[in-house]
Amino acid sequence: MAIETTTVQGKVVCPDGNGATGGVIRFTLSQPGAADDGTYNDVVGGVYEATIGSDGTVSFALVPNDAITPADTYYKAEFRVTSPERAAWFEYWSMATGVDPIDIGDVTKLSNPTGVASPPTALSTGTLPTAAAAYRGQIRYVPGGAGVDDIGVQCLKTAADTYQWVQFNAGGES
Amino acid sequence: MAIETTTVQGKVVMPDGTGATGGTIRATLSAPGSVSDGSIDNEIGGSFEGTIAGDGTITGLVLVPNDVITPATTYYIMEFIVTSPIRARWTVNRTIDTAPDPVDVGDLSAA
Repeated sequence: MAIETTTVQGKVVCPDGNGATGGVIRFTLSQPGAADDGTYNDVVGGVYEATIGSDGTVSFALVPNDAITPADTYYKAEFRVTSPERAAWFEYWSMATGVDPIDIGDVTKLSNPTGVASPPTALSTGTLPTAAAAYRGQIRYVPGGAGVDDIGVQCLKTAADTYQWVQFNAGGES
Repeated sequence: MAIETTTVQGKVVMPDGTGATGGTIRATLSAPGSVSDGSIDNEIGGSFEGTIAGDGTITGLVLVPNDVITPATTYYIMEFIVTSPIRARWTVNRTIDTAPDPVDVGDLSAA
């Protein structure tokens, strides 16, 4: 048995609807992990580059994140289009075993993977969501009124494996 | 009696599921310590390198397990240095035990 992989198919398309005509997609696993090949429990890590074909077509395989231990890995996918116009952008991908092959447009994109700081978010009424794993590492602020400091907080895990918003400034003072 | 060792086996695999095709794994002991060979307590420290073969298989990575080293708090700083098909490098901290032997690289405990 080989290591489980999921094939990604489809095209990289430019804003005019035509396929890109060259470039690569560079995949970096968020952290090294372990995956079973049926004989050994191997280590998975590093970088992989998939080629964008002359009509934008891509076809490549990745080890799905739900086959990797620990459970919260993801891929940083860096798109580097070289023609017809140079362009670059990146996304955070979560690959699964369920649908194989999967269209590139259907791959689960993560907005705020664990460990990636998100931009501060203004909250209405000054109420924070209940601290939870989904917010781990996120930095937010509760806006202060006129003449009053904003309150800066970050969601952090405790030694008891619970989550809490930790204030990092004096805040709230006028 | 020789010094106890544990063999690390398995493969280094790239994100596309294929094996790395070259490189090394450098294991550095976190701190020097002592280890018995059955008659003498010896000094142990430094680094050792195993090889990543052409199909990703780890070869020659034989290490003194941390549970026979004094003090009991040592671990190995393991640098995976992949040279092909694409250069990549990452570091993890792992502890090696006397059992199981051999041990799969993916089963090593985080330090």
